Amino acid sequence: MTDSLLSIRDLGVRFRLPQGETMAVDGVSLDVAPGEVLGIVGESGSGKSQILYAMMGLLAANGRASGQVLFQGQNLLALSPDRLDRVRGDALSMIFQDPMTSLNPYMRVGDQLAEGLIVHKGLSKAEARAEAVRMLDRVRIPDAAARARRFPHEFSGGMRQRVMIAMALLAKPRLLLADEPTTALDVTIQAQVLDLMAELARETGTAIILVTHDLGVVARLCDRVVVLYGGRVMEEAPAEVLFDAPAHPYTRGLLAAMPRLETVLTPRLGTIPGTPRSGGSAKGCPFVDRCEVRLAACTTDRPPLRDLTALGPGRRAACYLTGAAP
Amino acid sequence: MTLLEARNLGVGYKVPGASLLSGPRLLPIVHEVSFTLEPGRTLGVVGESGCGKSTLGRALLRLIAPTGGQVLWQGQDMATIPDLRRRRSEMQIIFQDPVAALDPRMTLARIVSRPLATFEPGLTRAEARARAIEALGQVGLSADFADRYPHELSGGQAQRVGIARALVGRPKLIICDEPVSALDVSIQAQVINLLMDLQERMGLALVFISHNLAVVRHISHDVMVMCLGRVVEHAPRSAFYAKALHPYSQALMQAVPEPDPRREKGRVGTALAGELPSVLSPPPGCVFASRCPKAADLCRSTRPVLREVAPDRLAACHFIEGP
Repeated sequence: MTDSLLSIRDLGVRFRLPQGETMAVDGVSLDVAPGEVLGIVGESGSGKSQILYAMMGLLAANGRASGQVLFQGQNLLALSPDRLDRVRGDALSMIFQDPMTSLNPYMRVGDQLAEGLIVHKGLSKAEARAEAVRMLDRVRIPDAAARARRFPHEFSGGMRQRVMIAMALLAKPRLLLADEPTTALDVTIQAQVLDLMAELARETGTAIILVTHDLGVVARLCDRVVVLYGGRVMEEAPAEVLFDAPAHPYTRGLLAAMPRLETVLTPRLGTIPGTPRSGGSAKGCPFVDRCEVRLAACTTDRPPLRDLTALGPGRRAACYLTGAAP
Repeated sequence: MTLLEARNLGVGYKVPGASLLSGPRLLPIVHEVSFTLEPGRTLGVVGESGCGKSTLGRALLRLIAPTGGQVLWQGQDMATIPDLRRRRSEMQIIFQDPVAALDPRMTLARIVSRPLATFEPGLTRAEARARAIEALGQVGLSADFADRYPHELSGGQAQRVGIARALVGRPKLIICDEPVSALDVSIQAQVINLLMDLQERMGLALVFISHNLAVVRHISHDVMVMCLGRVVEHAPRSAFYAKALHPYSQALMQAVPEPDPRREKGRVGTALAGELPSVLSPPPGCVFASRCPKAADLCRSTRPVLREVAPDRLAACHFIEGP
């Protein structure tokens, strides 16, 4: 894709552990277009969050990233810490699952927001504060001017996450990385935060990578979806297509396992046997132990991620059983 | 015979008084909850954080003493049951964090057999171990799990062990307090199916406490929606999911994201503004009035009572239209 805002090529994330090296992310390639909302879905240990941490240079000390993360023409993995600092919090921001631990408990919320503008945009303190209040109001914090002088503990969980979004969007980033941003919130508050993200993405043209385990959240917010398992991309598709006609057995299993509000009730939920694999580079398909349609080749040779042009544009899957048939 | 009945059950916690000189005061958490549960049935209790659903679950087993009303076990007031501790073999509970619920220094056989020391003190060690292995088998864990430790388990396996421990005393009721919330989707489905299988095989009654309306739909026969310590709607499952009557239930239903982009894209922008009031300062009128799109002055001043708005259907709203 030539119009990509972000191009990840063959990203690998390895962790050194006492028992040896483990591969959390294994050869992931993906693109994000300007203004696009991409969902990365996976269960625990799929490596979904590590992709974001690698991009932001936030891997744990025993972690190492390889491959390329091209963002606005520069490889983030090769930048010096100084240069990376100029990108982070400016063109690239991130929000996390737990908004409480992401905010400084000793600092007034307004000052935390203003800090980034002073550092990155060279605004004066007064200008930055005014801008911070405007942004808090924008994410519907009631009585924003007064609230800006409060501390994080005086905010509810939903409000804290809105503060995080305000902070992330202050510098008008081109790309927002969101790591399970609504997982800690009640459903009605989650709906508010998802609405807010959709609205801001639309208005400002900010692209979003949303990492989540919740296929429902993906359905609400995302244009395109990447399904991750054992550190590898299993399937990629436009959102509507993925839910209508999942190509990979893992995606099909996940969808069947989700209890729903509106479908006809089945006596039992669909299941995937076994437990999610976490990391570790296998010879064959990472999903093979849990796959109910596996072939002999699946245990020995890793199925490559192939374009499924026959199934429609923008579709890829890593499975010997898909793409071959019409 | 009705297995479990709550009659106007109220629960509160002692909190520090308003000033240094005033003594501790009672903060009510659960108000006037009533229901009956028959053997082999599941009551789903659904609500957001702080609605009192977990407190209710604990009070049903008298793990917390109620501050008002009664809990009846097979018709007998639980407060008057002699040696309730031993009687609890019939009524068990499983928790949200399956790993934290297991002692890391004990083998699974010891963890699972431990309740038997109270329930059936006459058993020999070998008998208790055999019972533990039997219970592990009932949740799909083979006998070679007996000598493993909790840290060797995945989250789903740990929750199975929690269920095995609840089963070992051959209970009639299990209170399930958010038992699948910490699990991955594929594992969540396995555990829900397991609970449904066990219910079918053993005639277990379940109180299934969850914030997840879709999960509750799958497993429950009846659904009770709680908001700020009060039941706002109580209905049979099929009627409830066909059309929720209380505006709060409807709002919850709207807010749940379903894996269906066509439905979901149409819902962007429909979230209710505002947040629920705090338990520390509940409003005088309806608990949902501050966020309800239909709220009128009456709702802010007068609390609606839970009443029968259609056959078998209870709701607490001044303005309910029938189904």
